[in-house]
Amino acid sequence: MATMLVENEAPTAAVDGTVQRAQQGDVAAFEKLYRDNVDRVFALCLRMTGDGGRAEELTQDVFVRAWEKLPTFEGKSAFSTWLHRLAVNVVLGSRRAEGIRIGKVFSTDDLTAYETPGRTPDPGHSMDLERAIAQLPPGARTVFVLHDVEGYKHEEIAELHGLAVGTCKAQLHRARRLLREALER
Amino acid sequence: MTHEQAVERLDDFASGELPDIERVLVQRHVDACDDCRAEVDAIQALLGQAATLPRAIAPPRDLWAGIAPRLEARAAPLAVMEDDPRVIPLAPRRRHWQPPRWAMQIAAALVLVAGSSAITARIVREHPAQPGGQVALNPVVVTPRQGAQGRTADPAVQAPTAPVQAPAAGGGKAAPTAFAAFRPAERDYQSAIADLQRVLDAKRGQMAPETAETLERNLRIIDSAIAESRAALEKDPNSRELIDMLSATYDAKVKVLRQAVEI
Repeated sequence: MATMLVENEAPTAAVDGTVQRAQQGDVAAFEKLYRDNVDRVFALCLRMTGDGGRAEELTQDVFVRAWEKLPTFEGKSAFSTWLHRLAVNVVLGSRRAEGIRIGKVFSTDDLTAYETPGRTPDPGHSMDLERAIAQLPPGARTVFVLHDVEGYKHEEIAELHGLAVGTCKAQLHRARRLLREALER
Repeated sequence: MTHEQAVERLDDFASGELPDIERVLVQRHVDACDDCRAEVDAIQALLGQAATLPRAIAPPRDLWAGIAPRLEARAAPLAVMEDDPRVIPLAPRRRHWQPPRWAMQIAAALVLVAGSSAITARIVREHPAQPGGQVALNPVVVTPRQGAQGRTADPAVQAPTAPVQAPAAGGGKAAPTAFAAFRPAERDYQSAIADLQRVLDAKRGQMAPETAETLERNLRIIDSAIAESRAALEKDPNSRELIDMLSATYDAKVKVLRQAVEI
């Protein structure tokens, strides 16, 4: 299983005082936190929504929410861990708020949002997988991204999503089956 | 374990999430069942692909410009802002800077520094302005072109003195932009602010809670004004008016911090 995104992070922001300065209202420090973390947040939003434009909006929402919530960050975890959880909550909250909009069809011909200069060349498989993930039904996509890409446990996803653990497992099974079918075509 | 019982557990088995006893039982079944073994292999191949996906993807454009103008939502409410219906956390996504916002933010910051804050009132009352280059405690905002006239007792917290190279009113072209020309002065401001904040942090424990709270609220307002001005300058980097506003707002922050340090 993929290791959770945040495990590889060096807690430099906490060590060099950037988080503390941002907590005190230093916008320049907060901008540094943004620069250090935006790519990870955007990747999460992009995969959870399957929509590049929406992912940009949600990424901005995540950082605005982070600014508002920063005074409550107690430093018990790495800042990126806290931010990642916040990002998941923002995306899931927007989905609940938008209701029917989650059925929006992703343009599978447009995968430019997944391309980034720092991304290592691949034989095409990962882009096929990105495309297939984007085509999943929203519930299955969310569970697959959180569980199999980001490394959350079923219990955590169930809590975040307000689902029963059994429902979460069923969604994951469905997602994996659909992905395998899509990749075998 | 029956085939049906094993099938129900194959996802957890492939993910390594089964308790030891169940894992052993499913493994035993998988070893003997071609269908289940193929299923597990397929799931694990998918997980292997998922593990290669990049954890970070750069957005196709810089999103900060759409974030900075919204950060004022964290600032303490002022009467001048409360009437602005756009000041709503996570409001409809407003990607473009709107002129009235910065004007109100900066006005709020300057009004704040000019005498509305409890801190200013207290300091002015308790520490009248002193001649001879001591800390300027009156609420007049010093512009960068005037230079920082006052110095605190601590040489580490002197105000910036770098001249601002704003473009001439109708003169030659700034090279490359007024905002770029302002950056050295801005760095001086930021350095002075950082120094003052370090001194202030050391003294924070001696400060009355309500005073500290008021101070933080006021600084947030000023920071929001700075963010607004900078975002506006990103879009209009040759605006003399915006440069003046930004430098005045930095002056305001230096002044508030100086005053706070002197408490």
